[in-house]
Amino acid sequence: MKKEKFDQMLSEIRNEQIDEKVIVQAGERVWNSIAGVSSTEVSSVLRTCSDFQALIPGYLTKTLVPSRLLLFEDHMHACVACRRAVERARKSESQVVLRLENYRRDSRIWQWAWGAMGVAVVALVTFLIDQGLFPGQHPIRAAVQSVDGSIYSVDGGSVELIPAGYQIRNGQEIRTAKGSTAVVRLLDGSLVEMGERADVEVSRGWKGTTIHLDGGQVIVQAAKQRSGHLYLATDDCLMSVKGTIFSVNHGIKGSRVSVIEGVVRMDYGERTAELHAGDQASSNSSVSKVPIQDEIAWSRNAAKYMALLGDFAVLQKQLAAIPGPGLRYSSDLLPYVPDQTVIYAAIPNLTNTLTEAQRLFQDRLQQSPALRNWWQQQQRGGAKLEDLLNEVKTFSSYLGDEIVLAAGKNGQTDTAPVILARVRQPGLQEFLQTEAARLSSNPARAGLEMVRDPRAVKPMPGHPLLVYVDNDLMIASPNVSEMQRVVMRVREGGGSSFSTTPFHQQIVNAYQEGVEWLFCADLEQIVVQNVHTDSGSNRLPPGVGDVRYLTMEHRDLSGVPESQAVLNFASERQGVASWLAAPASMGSLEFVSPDASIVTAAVIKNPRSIMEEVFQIIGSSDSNFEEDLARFESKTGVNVLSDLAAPLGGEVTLAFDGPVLPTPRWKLIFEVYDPATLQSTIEKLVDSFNRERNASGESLQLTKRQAGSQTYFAIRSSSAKGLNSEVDYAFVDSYFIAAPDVATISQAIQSRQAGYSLTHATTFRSLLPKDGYTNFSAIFYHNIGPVVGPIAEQLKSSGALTPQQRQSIDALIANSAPGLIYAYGQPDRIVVASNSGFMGFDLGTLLTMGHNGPFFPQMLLGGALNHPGTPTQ
Amino acid sequence: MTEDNRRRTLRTALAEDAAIAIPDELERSFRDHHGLVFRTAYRITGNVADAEDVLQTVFLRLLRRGREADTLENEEGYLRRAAVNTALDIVRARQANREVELEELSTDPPQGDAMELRQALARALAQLEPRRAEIFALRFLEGLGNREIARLLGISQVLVAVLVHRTRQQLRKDLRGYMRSSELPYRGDKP
Repeated sequence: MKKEKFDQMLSEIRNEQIDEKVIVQAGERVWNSIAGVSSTEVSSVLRTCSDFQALIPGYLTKTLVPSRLLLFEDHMHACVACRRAVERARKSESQVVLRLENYRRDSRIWQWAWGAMGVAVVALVTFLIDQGLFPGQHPIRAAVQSVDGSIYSVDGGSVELIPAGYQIRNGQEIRTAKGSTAVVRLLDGSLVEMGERADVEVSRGWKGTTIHLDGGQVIVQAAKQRSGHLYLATDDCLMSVKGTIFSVNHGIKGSRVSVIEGVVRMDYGERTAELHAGDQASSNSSVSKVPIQDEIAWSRNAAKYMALLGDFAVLQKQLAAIPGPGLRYSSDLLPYVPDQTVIYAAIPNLTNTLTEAQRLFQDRLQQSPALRNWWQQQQRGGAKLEDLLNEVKTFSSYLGDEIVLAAGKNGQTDTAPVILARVRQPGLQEFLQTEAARLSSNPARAGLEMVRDPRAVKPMPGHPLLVYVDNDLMIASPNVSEMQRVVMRVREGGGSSFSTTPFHQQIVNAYQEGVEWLFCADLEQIVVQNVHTDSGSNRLPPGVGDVRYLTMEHRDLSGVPESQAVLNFASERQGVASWLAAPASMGSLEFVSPDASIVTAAVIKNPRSIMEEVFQIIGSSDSNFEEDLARFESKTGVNVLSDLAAPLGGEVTLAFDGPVLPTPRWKLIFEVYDPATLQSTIEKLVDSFNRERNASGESLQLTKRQAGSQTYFAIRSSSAKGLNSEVDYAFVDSYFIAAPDVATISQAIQSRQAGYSLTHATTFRSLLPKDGYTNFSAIFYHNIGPVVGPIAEQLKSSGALTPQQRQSIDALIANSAPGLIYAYGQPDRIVVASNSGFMGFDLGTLLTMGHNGPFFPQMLLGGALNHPGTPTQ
Repeated sequence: MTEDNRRRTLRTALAEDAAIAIPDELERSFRDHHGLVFRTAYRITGNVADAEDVLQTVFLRLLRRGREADTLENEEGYLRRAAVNTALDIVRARQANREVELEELSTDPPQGDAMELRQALARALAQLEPRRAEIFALRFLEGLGNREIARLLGISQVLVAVLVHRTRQQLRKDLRGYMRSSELPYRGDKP
């Protein structure tokens, strides 16, 4: 049958609508039948397997009444244990009663017996071969050849650290820890190199060995298969090979397969692809291609693979999609910025461009305290940047496509900013002269001064903004010396020493990607120098001192806003900066339902290492810390590092998932490598708390409850004041889930079991960016509309709101579309990006501020917006 | 005994033996999920009478579990699986009782070629190893994801993926002959 027809048939069966009346009528008939008979008392009720097994003698002697016989046979069909009980009873019966004569007399029974025996033999042989128990086969499928870091065996709820040399059984799940890699050798000699947080099982069937990749990345060196194929299966695709080297990266968004050598057949969805060396394919369009070198760079054999790749012509493919009009790929103003530039901002000359630049700059400064401090120092004794920009925006219409603002730092001295722009129409000079004359009529506020010859202007403190127009270039600065240096560079045709600096290269690189709004800061010069001159009173946390550049961009790609911030480090991230781990699968998100309003999740470095660094940071500022810590550990019997931090894994999720009222339904999910130790630690902490009970008489009670196969724990606090609170938690597989009640945890487990999770939700998936990553290091997801909408409507209907408040609530509802902010931790940088903004608060929507504008600006500036004539300064 | 009579007797027997007061929980479960069970059964059996039989059998079995039984952790998943397996049992039983007249099995009006194709699929499913048939039905007739199926059955997700893939290939192969002979496109009929 053709695939299309087959699919169509399945789709139509699946989507067929059944008349509700038919269902209702059937339901009524069935329920009446059940309810009608349930009231009839019968002396002997069949409830449990024991009840049924009590009927076995009667069944064997064929003395059961017909209805009982049917029920018995029906139960036997469904219950393996009872079926075995019947078989045992039958065997024991046959030992007592010799039925050989009967067999001889009844040839049909004899034939049945032979047939059954034949079937049994075939079934047994099939089972043995399938399970690898036949001679020549072995239930051991692979062995851990080497480990760099930690690798675990995961079996249901138990997680066991396994060493190199460990033999992996058929279907046994193994998982590498964060930051760890391992090589597994299959029985046929194939090697599976597992990247960090890779989850793998190996099984053998009729057609060959299958490597099951549940998440993470592997590189497989398939040995030549004597018979059959080597398979690699993920939940969305199946690869089959004979002998080849290939990489599979499987994550939330899908799978990406890269072939280094040989041929790989890839089945995904309804499609089949044959991939050759140098080819790459993904199971989902949201997983884009990346250079194969990058894909396998984590491997210990990367150099070897790279050499192999060098034999092929097509290894690197440039990103074909170039953003549309509006993006700039270079700047002809960059050669003229000051030699010691440490801040570079480039903004497009659009309507209100300068106003927005001012806001952008303020936003940036607000996000970085170090930058803010630096700018505050820079602004002392001189004109404020805000004032300068307000003066300049009036003549923006004379300017070219881009306006560049650059500021430098000369040793410990901050230099004045310089503004550069191309002049696209004549008349700018005259316009400015008019403005200058108007401003000079107010001697106390001479904000602008036209300069005809920069060399003739003498440096003096408190200069207004000096503006010089040189042919088609406008140069503005409050400092004449800076202006003179720029003019000199212009006349020399550029070529400042800045062009040889790494920071310059950083800016050039940013342009190469296409920029609309661009902000670059040389934090190595700004933060480090500022902090280090602060006589040690403001020492940076470990690792932060390695920060090098901050690059922030915003652009519109085919109508989709994209904001990105990149924090570069001088070397591999250390200390606090390394707490965010490299992108990895987040299994904890499976416990979050699509209805969640706010979700934040991250993969983090080893919690023990983080805790050690926290101790180090606290200890450096608090000389009593070690003593206090020792006292705490002595009292509680808990070693914070070994008993609390070490059992935790590298993944954490916090979600608000469910109704907000009367109390928010939150979930905290941690990956746990050692549930037993963590549970023991919790018990010790509760005991210790109760021993050290405070004056208010508050105590904690730890209880345990079994529901089905799941164990739930509850910590209830009660105080003399009658204030009670409760936190429940459970261990599921290798995760710890905490919530305010058991129902929330149970719901989380069911969501995971049913696959009804956030990562499968259309809303969430529509927000996923198209880039080369299969996973994230951290995400922040918000979808508050369904939660806030009803509350907002209720508030509005109460009639207690002013028109202004109603307008703000309307703005809130209008801008409560779901959004996703995500982060990628790379060895020497952290990338934070979003293509949706946060509650309408992004640079794009800032431009539409006013009616139907975003909530936060409305909220913060609503008064000012309603009174446009009100001075803002 | 014909299959139809056997099932009717089973229903009667189940009813006679279900001497347990109906728990509120079962009533709620029936109210919430009888539609799901019915639809699931209908998608496999293709007729209303069989779907109703499945509905009754599933809930009578649930009733017989009694109050002492563990609370279902994933009630919907359990009932969906129960409906799939009971429906497949009916199709298998029907194949084992070829003497049963088609008219006797279904009270629905004849559905034409589309229904024949559907019945061919049901027969092919019933001939598969039960677990593979169940996985296929859950995946393609119920529209569950591999992960969800893996959780329901307590097996590896990747194993589900492999079984789904292979079963799909097998069924396409099984139905190839049917399509060659009829060359009729499938059109779903409504009950």
